[in-house]
Formats: sequence, structure tokens, C-alpha cells
Amino acid sequence: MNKRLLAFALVLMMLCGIVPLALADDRPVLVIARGADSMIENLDTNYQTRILEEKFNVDIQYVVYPASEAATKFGIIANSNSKMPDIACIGLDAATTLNMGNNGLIIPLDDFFADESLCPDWYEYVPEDIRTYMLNAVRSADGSVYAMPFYAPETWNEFIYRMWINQDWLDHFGLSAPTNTVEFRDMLDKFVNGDPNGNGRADEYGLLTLPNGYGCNPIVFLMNAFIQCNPDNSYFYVDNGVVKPAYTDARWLEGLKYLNDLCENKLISPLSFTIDWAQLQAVANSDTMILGAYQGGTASLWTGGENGVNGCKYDLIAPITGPDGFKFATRRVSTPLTKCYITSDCENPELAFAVMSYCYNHDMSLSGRFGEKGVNWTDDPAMIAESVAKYQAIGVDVKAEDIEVILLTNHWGEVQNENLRNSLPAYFAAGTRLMAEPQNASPKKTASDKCAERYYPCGVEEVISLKLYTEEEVEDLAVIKTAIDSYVQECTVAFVTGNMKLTEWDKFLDTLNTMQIDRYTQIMQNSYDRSKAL
Amino acid sequence: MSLPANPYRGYSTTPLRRRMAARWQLYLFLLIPIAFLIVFDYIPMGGVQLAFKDYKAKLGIWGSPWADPALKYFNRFFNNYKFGTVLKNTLILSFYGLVAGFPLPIIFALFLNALPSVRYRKAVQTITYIPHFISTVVMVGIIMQVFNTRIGVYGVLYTLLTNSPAPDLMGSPGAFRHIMVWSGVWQGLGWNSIIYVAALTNVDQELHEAAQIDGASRMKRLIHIDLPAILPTASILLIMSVGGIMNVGFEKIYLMQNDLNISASEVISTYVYKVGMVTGGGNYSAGTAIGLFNSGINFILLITVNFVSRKLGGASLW
Repeated sequence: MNKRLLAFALVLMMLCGIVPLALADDRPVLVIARGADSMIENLDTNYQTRILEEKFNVDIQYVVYPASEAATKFGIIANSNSKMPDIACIGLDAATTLNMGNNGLIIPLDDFFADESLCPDWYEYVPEDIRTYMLNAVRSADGSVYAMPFYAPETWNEFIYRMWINQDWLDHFGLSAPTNTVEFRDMLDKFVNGDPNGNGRADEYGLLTLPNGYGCNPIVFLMNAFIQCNPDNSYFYVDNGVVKPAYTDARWLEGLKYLNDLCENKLISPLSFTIDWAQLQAVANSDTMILGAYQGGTASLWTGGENGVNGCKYDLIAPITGPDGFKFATRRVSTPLTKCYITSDCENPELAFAVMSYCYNHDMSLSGRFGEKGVNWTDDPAMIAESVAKYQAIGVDVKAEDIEVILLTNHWGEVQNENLRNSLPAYFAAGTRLMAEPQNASPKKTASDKCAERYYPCGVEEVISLKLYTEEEVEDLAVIKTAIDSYVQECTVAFVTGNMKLTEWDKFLDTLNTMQIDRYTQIMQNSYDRSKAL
Repeated sequence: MSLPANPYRGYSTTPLRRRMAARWQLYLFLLIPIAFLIVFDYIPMGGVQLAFKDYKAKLGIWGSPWADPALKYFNRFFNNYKFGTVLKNTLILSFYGLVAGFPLPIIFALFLNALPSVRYRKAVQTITYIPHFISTVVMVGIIMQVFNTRIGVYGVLYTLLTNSPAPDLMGSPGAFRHIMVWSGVWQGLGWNSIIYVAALTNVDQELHEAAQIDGASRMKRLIHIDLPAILPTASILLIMSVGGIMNVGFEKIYLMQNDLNISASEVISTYVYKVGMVTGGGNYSAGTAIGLFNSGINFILLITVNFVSRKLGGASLW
């Protein structure tokens, strides 16, 4: 009897497993691969996912890879002849794109982009000159476009290597914001050794940031007082039309000496080269203030951002001058990014393309950044006028015609389910926005205002933005660039922390020569010339 | 010249096939492990040819064209500025690990065996082998917590005793090897001693009794009875460890790696991962070539040690 009951129960369980399959909808399925994002509550029920599913009557399913290794994981699946997802919303670099395109793992999209019936929103919402620019920017070295670009120019995001200083501590010592490298060192020295938080313990950090991260590379802000320092361009810069690597210059060595001195004296915490975001947040948000200076692109480090309990104590200081009077702010020109690929395993690439191209719809693009229209943001002219009036009432200089979007909530730094956090293709201008309510009672400058006032003037026009290589160059770069970039990174960190003596500088230069730095520079020069001609 | 006498000669006069047929059930059990070895160890070995080819995913492993010259990826590795560092780090880490990690479980097992109370012995044994079950990720997490300069046991004690901030050991190339090896010894000590403890329980008690009657102390018995008893086990294990000497644990090193200790922590396996799979979408041929080089060294070492051990009259694998 018992056995029969058990058998019955088992059959019932099996049926329960089968029934949902039989009842499953017959909507076409699109599988999207992407990196994990802990700030998104549920990909399947996300506002943007639902919009796409309803609009095209498709079933969107996600395959999620670890965030930091998404490209690696996708590459392994593609190159091992495993079944690939239909769409990969993963940014790939030029070499990977070319390699995968050549191998027929991802399909060229030129014909799709040319077909207006497939992507009406691309034609309706993106102006023609921008369309051309976006496609040229992501065009692979073999002449085909494989990636669907994402382009959201925003000046705030162009100057991300910003220095935030603890204003309370400056006041404590009666200092004003440092303007040169000597003052900066004195300030850090007081911060670290003067016990500004008054608890009798030497628990203060001078400068602390992350080894890499959004605007977080510890050497950039200070090296900019000696020579142009841009890690996003592998430290190459343009001098009167000539592309040069910064790290072979004597001024770079001067910068290293300065940084090494700070590091040896613990004024820059050596932890800056090892800690992660969560640990840095713990330091920044501790009850007793222990963080003196932080270099980074975002105020999200502090709970509550720049208006948070700890965050409001920090001021964004202007770039400082070095011994030769040089100062510079690293500018990372907003360029279109490779955002989305359609794989050769996709059975209906037209449909996949049509679905993804809907992301160029203006509302959809904005949703990717700000969330649900009408709930998280609005472009209702009446609302814009109302908010602008509130700002004008407290004396902020803002005009209604400059504002495109009013933000009803600001949830970029929180776990939410309204946007996919810019992980889909998009085109929008992110700068023309305003919070619905002014955050301060008086026209206090926001970090964004300070950045515009203090950093933009220190940038230069002549910067490397797009990187356009030929096939041959991509192949060479695959060997040379990866080797040199990691060697420079290792040696720079070692020089700064003292693991490598500065007397070994000549050896460093010799090694670079054997690693074909000349060829690397030549390729960067060619790429720059091509981007100028574009 | 005569062949050495086969010790098993005369064991059975029946032919092998007849003997196998008589115990076919036992041989049936063997099928599964053999199939496992063929499917997961021998068939994938065909992929080794990638090291000599320019891998193109479209063409597959067999269809990809041969590299020109055939040793292109090997040469590239040997000429790489990292070759020396990576090889040196791998060798130092593995030999250090072997020297520190190999004798301790033996000594531990001998002392464990010498404990008079069985219950106490069992308790010690259980407690010491539990860390073996901590996964690598959690283990590295523990290491990082302990060595945190502010909130870790190390940092707090250091500050308490010297009243100055503790240096960051996780970011120091000099400290990396010691932390890596000794945390491994701590984690594996109990587990690795199990096999020796088992071997020691097989020692004939009559030997001990006879020695006691002859007046041998506990120490003398340990050296002259217990140690020789586990020596064959120890030499087999030593040969096996040397065979795997270039395979220093990838996960643990990769997790403990950072920009500061990279000069001591970049080993062949982490370098293979970076070259083969991460940078520029991965170069599978280059990754395979470096991996093959690694296995080649292992193979040579294994043969050499086995040969030496056999010549010295000890145990050997074949």
C-alpha cells in the first residue's frame, strides 16, 4: 500500500514538472547573456525587461556571468563551440571583437542598421551625424560593425579623477585647500600625524582610494601635477599632434619620486593598491572620521552621497600644480561604447536586432539610466517649469529650456528594479537633468558644479578618444599592448610603494624598448590620426 | 646478465585470462574508473596540439592551421619579460611548500600515535583535520580578515604591542610566500597525517613489546619501529608530490594576488589563466603552450624522483 502511495506521489511530482512546460507560452525566446549586477533586484521582472517583452511579444531570458569576468566567460563559451546565448550584452574590446567576428561567432550588423524597417527608433531618435559617428566608433578593424553602441555624452563623466578632501580636517588645522604638491604633502602630513579626529589614536588615513575603479587609480590626480596622466588611454597623451607614452618621460619619474615619498611616509595609504569598494566604503562611512582624502569619480562612496552624514564633509578640490607649475585634469572623452552583440547561434537575428534597437527609443534609453517614466523621472514640460522655478527661487541659475529630464527619485546607488543600469544599447544626453526638489536651501554648489568650475578648465582639447586600428595592428596589439600595459602597471605600483627602487628606472626603460614600445606608440599614433580624419 | 627475479613468479600457474575470468565481477568494477580516465583524461589530451596551432574557434581544434614556426607560442613565452619571474615564483613556492609541508604531517602522526589516551588522540585528530574542509575562497577570506591591518587579529595585536600602525602583509611580496605556505600547512596538517596514522596502526604490537622488554625508550621505539613502518608510504607520497610540484594551487594564489604582491605571486598557473583566457579575449594557443611546458617539467621531475627512489632501494611507483 505504502509503495503504491509513494509511486503515486512520485508520478504526481513528475507531472507537476511537466505541466508548466506544456502550458508555457509560445512566444519566441531570446536569451541574453550579461554580467551580474547586485544593484538590480530581479532581471526577469525588471521594468525594462517587461517593456521589451510586451512590445515585441518575446520571452527574454537571462544568463548571468560573474560581473568582473563576463567577457572572459563569454569568450570561453563562444570559443569552445558551446551553444551561445542569442545576445550578449557585454562590452568587448577591439581585439576580442575582431577575433570573434573573424571566427563568425558574432554576426555583422551593418545590413541591419541600414534597414530602417528593422530599427525605426534608431532612425527616429538618433540624429544622422551621431548615427554615423556611433557606428564608426564601434566599427571593427575588418570594416564591419558587430556591436550595438551605447552613447551617453555627459561632461560629469569626462573628468572622473577627482580629489575629495575632508573639509572639517582642513578647518581643524586652519588650512585652505592645497593648490600645489608641496601644500598637498603638508596637508596629508597633518592629517596623518596631527590626530585631526582627536581620539588620541593614529587611525587616520591620508589619501586612500582603490587600485582601479571609477576614477580611483591612486596615482592619477597627483601625477597630473607633473605630466598628463590618463590610464584609460594606457597613459598615452597627445603633444602637438604627436602621440607619446607618459611613462618614458623624465617628468613621470619626478612624479614617481613625489608619490613614492608620500607612500613611504604612509601619507598615501599603501592599502590604496589592494582594498576593494566595500572596505573603502566602511572606512569612508565610519562613525569616527578616519578618511582624509579620497580620489574617485563618485560620491556614492558615502551613504547618502555628497549630502550624506560623512559625505557632506568632503570638498572637491581643483587640480594642483607641480614644481614646474604644470597642472592638468584627465579628460576621458565620452565615446560610444560596444554594448551588445548578436551571436551566430541566434536563430532569429532580425528579431533580436529589432528588440535591441528599440533601446534607442528616447524613453527607453533614459529608462536605462533613470528608471520608469512617470515614476522615477519625467519630461513633462509643466513639471520641468515647476522644478526650475523652485531652483530659481533659491537663487540657482538654471533655465527651463536647458533641462530635458526631471528626476523624481535618485536611485542609481540603490538596489532597484526599474532600470537595467545602462546595460542595454542607448543614446541620450545624460547631462540635461535636474532633481525635482533642490537638495539644499541655498544655492550651494554641487559636486557637479565644482567639477565644471575646477576641472574642465584644466583639461585639454587634444586627447585620444576613439581607438581605430587596422587588423594587422590589432594582432600586434594583442601581444604588445597587453604585455606593456601590465608591465607599466606593475612597475608603477612597485616604484610608488618602494618595492622597486627608483634607481632601476633605466632598466625599466630598457625593458620597454625590448617590448617594442616604439611599435606600440606608432600604432597609437596611427589610430589617433584616423580618429582625427573621421 | 640476468633479470631480477620476479617476486610474484610462481604465485599462480593459471594463465592471466583464466584468472580474470574467474573473478570477472571484480574486473567489471574496474570498467568505470577506466572509462572515467579515458573520457576525462585521455581524450582531452588531444587538445594539447593547440600549443602548436593558431587556434580558430570556427575551425575547431583539429581544423586549425599549424603555427608557423611550430614553437611560436613557446618562444613567445620564453622571450617574455615575465618568464623568469613566473618560473622562479612557481619553483620557490612549490619547493617551499614541499619542504615545509611534507615532514610536518609525519612528525604530527608519530606524536599522535605516541599519545597514551585513545580518546584524546581521536579528539586532536578530528579537530586538526577539520580545516581541510574549508573551501579555498573562504580560507582566503579568513586569511585576509586575520591579516587586516586595522581590524584583523594581526593588526590589532601589532598596534597594541608597538603602538604603531601595522604594515600591510597582504600587500608585501616578501610576506606572500610565507602566508601562502604556512596557511596551507595549517589547513592540511591534520588531513595529510591521516594516512600516516593509518599506517602506524598496522604496526605489529609485538615489536613494541619486544623492544620494551629490551629496554627501549618511547623515543627509541618511535625512531626504530614507527618511522620505518611509515617510510614506504612517505616515499610514495613524496614522489607524487614532486610530480605535482609545478601545480601550486591556482585558486588560492589567484585570490591572494594583488597589484602589490604580484612580483612574488605571479606563477605559471595564474599566468596561463591571464594569457589564455582573460587578456584580449584570450589566446588559447599561448595558454596551452605554457600549460604544456608546465606539465613537461612535472613529468621530468616525476620520472627523476621515481628513478632515484628506486635506485636508493626505497619504494617506487613502477
